[in-house]
Amino acid sequence: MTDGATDLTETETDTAIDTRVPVTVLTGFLGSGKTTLLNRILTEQHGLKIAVIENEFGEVGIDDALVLDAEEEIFEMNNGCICCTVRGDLIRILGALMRRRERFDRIVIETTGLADPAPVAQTFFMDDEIASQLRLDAIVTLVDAAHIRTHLDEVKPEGVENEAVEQIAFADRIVLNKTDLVDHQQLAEVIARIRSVNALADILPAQNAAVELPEILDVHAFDLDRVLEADPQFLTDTEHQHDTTVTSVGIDLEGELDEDQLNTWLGTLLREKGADIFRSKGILALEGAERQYVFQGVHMLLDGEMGRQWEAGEPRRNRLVFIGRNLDREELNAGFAACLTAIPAAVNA
Amino acid sequence: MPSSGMPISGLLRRQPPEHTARLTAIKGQVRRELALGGDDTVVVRQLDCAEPGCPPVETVVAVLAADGTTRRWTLHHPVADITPRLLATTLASTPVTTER
Repeated sequence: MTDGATDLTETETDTAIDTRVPVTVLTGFLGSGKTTLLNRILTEQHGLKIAVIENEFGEVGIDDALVLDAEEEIFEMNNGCICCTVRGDLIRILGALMRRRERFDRIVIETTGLADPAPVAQTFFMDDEIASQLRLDAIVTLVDAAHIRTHLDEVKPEGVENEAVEQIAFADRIVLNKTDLVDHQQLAEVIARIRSVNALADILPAQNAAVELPEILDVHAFDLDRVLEADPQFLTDTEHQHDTTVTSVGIDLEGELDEDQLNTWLGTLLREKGADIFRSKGILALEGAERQYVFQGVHMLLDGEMGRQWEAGEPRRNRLVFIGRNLDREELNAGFAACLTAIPAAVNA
Repeated sequence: MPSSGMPISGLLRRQPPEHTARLTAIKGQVRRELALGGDDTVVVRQLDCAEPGCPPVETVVAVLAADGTTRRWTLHHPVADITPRLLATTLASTPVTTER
């Protein structure tokens, strides 16, 4: 590596308690119920001190809450590369907030209905200082059960993203709101449609955005163990694939990975296809490592760390998922399998 | 596509402690040289550039001022190779700017 990074296997340490401030990002199309949920978060008696960064200032007004206004400001770290865009307004506001650290113990960011989630998420990966103080806990997307299919099917001019698709693709939790406005059949179709885009996110059906707050706050959505253990079948599930360009591809293979080959493959993949890969998550078994390696990414930006120790006799199982546009399942599987040090055995074949 | 935002050749490798120390030092020098206030934010990020003809690694120094303006400089060096003199010279050059 050009800047002398340390080999992972030499830096294994016990998992320390993460004291960073958790940040929840609320996204969702206009009318999906974001503000209702935000008001619920702020008014329920949960004893939490929450700082809110909102785009539509004045919609929530709680006397003792720390509410800050943000004007969506896309900042390009490098001209023309969507993977290097961050939210300049958030960088400023988060910096200011951290100087008042004693006033809150978590942050909720409400985005506009048309906001692109990528620059918001990338803000937490781009700067070491932010990453050392703040932890992107989850991207929570609200969906209007009655209208989401219309939004998903909306044909955009060439080069213009469908925001509803992106917001679902980026989500860790999807609050499927207004379920009272659809019947069982329609609800099942909406869920299948959401799953076809994002097979990984938990879907929380709701009316009036009434969800249990522990399901959306401090959920450690980026702690992959729980997420991937919960529903391993999605990884190879192709039954419910719809005719959509944004999909999820899961890989579940047993074996140990050659770290150099993996770096080369993943690096090339993200460099060449990163603009189309919205989210990536994985738990990996690196050759010779006593701990799992857990990573998450947004477009080309990756962040990872050693996870829990492999248990005695536990199969070295690699699980990763890509959510993005025009993903080639076979190519991804083959590329990843080539990084294994021995012939792979598919876990969920 | 001009770049990605992480060390391509070492995706799954942690940056050594010296990297963080260098970032802190660079940010400190930027603050001093530009006489920034406490409400101004400095972001320093090493990027890998995949564009033909570009150096494989570059470091972006960005100043997001409290008044909404931004200034950005690009150094065609990894963070580890940025000396105080190189940074000072770069900061004296004209940045890419945006205004709110």
